[in-house]
Amino acid sequence: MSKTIVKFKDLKLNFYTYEGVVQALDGVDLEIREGETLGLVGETGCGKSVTGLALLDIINPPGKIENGHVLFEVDGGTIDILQQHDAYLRKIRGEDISMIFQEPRAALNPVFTVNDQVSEVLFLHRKEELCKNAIQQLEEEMRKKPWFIKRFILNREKGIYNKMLKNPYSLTVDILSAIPLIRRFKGRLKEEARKEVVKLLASLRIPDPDRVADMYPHELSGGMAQRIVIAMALACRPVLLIADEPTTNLDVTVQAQILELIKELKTNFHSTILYITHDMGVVAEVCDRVAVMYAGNIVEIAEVFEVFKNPLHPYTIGLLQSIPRPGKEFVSIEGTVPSLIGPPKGCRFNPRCRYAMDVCTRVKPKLVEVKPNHFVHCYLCQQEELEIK
Amino acid sequence: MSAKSRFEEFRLSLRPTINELKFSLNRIRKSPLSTIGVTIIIFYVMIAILAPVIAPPINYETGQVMTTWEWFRIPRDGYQHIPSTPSPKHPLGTTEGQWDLYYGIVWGTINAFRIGLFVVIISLAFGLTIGLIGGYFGGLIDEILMRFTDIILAFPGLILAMAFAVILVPIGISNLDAVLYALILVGWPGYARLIRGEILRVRSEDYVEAARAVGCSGWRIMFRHILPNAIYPVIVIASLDIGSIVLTAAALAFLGIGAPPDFADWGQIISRSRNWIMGIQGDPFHYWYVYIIPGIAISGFVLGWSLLGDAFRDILDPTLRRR
Repeated sequence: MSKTIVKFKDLKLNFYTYEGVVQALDGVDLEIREGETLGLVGETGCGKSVTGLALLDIINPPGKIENGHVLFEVDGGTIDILQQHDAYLRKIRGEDISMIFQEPRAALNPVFTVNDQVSEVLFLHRKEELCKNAIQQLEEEMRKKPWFIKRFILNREKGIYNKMLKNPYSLTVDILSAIPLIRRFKGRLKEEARKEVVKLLASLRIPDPDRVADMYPHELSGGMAQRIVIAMALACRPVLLIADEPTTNLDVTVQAQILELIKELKTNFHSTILYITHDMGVVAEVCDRVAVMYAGNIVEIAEVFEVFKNPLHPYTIGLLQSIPRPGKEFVSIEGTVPSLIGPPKGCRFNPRCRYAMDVCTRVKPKLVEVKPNHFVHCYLCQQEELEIK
Repeated sequence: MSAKSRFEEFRLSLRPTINELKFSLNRIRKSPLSTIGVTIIIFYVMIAILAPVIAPPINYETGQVMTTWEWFRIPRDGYQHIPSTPSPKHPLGTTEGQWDLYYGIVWGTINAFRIGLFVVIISLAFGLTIGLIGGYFGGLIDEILMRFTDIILAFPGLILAMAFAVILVPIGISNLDAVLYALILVGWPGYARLIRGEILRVRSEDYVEAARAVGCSGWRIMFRHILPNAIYPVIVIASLDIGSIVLTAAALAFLGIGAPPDFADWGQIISRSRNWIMGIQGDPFHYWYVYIIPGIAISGFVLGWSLLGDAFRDILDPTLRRR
């Protein structure tokens, strides 16, 4: 078994709204293992996306994390993301963990070109490399024995980049690069970043990357925009990629291309993916393991084959039955998703559950490993627990 | 690498900017109103730039060129109370007290630009800062700043400006400057409200969250991701305001608050025509030139800026920009 890189421990998250406290996440326990694709499945509003955002600690108010830990393996140590300073987290976001957003057009800033947006990520996390590349370029130009004035200019530039290399994220550099004319000294860095961006776009099979790099988001098609968002997420080769329904708003052919791309990236970059979706077909296509979520709880975690062949939680069973299939009767789960303001006591699925028992309405079950690598959050599979209660 | 190729590179690097500029100019050309607005403003700019040439600052009594700090003082040809009609010496006539109207209108253009641009730029900077801080941080800071803004908005603008101007003069600020500062103090809340609203809209957009997810700091998000998306309506309103601020300043001058009587200020010239608006018995338009000419100057200026504001909207609004 490969090692765990992310571990959610009893994560509780509330949204404080006017109507009341929305208990969006109610003790989420989840592990993500290195190199796997974990599918996080559930209906709209069950807390999938929020789980992803919590992993980056970018929950916006009125959302607030009440309790729990998000442990992340980085540089040989384990850190709790929720306990870190924002300055430290900024280094992790985009570099170690990055996110692909649901609506590709909305996730791109309309006033910047593709090149601006993707290279911003590089500027934030890969300045050293860009500086080194720029210096190399300079040295190459020096080797051509230029005219002495030009040599002087090149020398000055080299000095600047060497200084920048020593302290790439210094405040002075930031301030100077905000002043017009003076910021021209960053020209070479921009060129280097652009080269990287074009390379990246080409590796995502975007046709004519040089031209696309100068386009604005509104000039791109949906599939293309999604590839740009993926490029932004992959710019720094993250350890963990959170894909928040990346194919939801695309038509089926583009969806297939994007899924193919994600699978390919996984083999090329060896990154771990947390794939958030509500589409069981997509899960079967890309995921290694599946975590099923219902109303802020993880109800079942297992290998993808196990979930499809041998689902144990009544919700998972219902979910799989409700996939429309030709020639089979269409079954839906009775009832509606409960409001998360004052959710049902005990197991949150009990009002809709065919097998609900007295215990279910009183005490919340635990997520227990009933078979190797198969965790279920239900008393039906936990006879011993039931007897104690 | 030769010098020429370096130049080529530079030219290539400017190409997107030039294309953008061409596109903007094309948009202006396609809309007749924008074209008129731009033409009017260019006309005023030309007058302002050429002022020393088309209206040379020469003292009528001594016949000598005035010193630089006297340029905005309208030269006076005699002390007769009744305005005199246009003549070769005074192409647009004179106001009461024989101040040359032509000189006043030409040099007043510079003053109008000064009033409009100074007031709008400073109050924009002020309002932008307040609105940006309030909108981005929200919560208590927002509450305090916006309630303060509301207090100022609660008073009628012109009257509050008058009150400020009257207070500022005794502190040792010259009359005209006092009007400018008063207009700034009254003008910024509008921009603050507008930019705050826009920022609240942009703040919840997905790309702001995406920017956080790639590790941008708060300042970076504020200035690079939120502000450029929120600023367009404010720029449009500001360019409309440049004209209307001049109108307000003229109104204040008409009410007797503003530049000294011989200062080349359109509002001041109009205020000196107050006694002659009725004309003489049987001929209400007898002294038409004392109020109609500066009136045309002011209304042309205001019209020019408001049409230019529309042009700015056409250029800047990304939803109207489709290629």
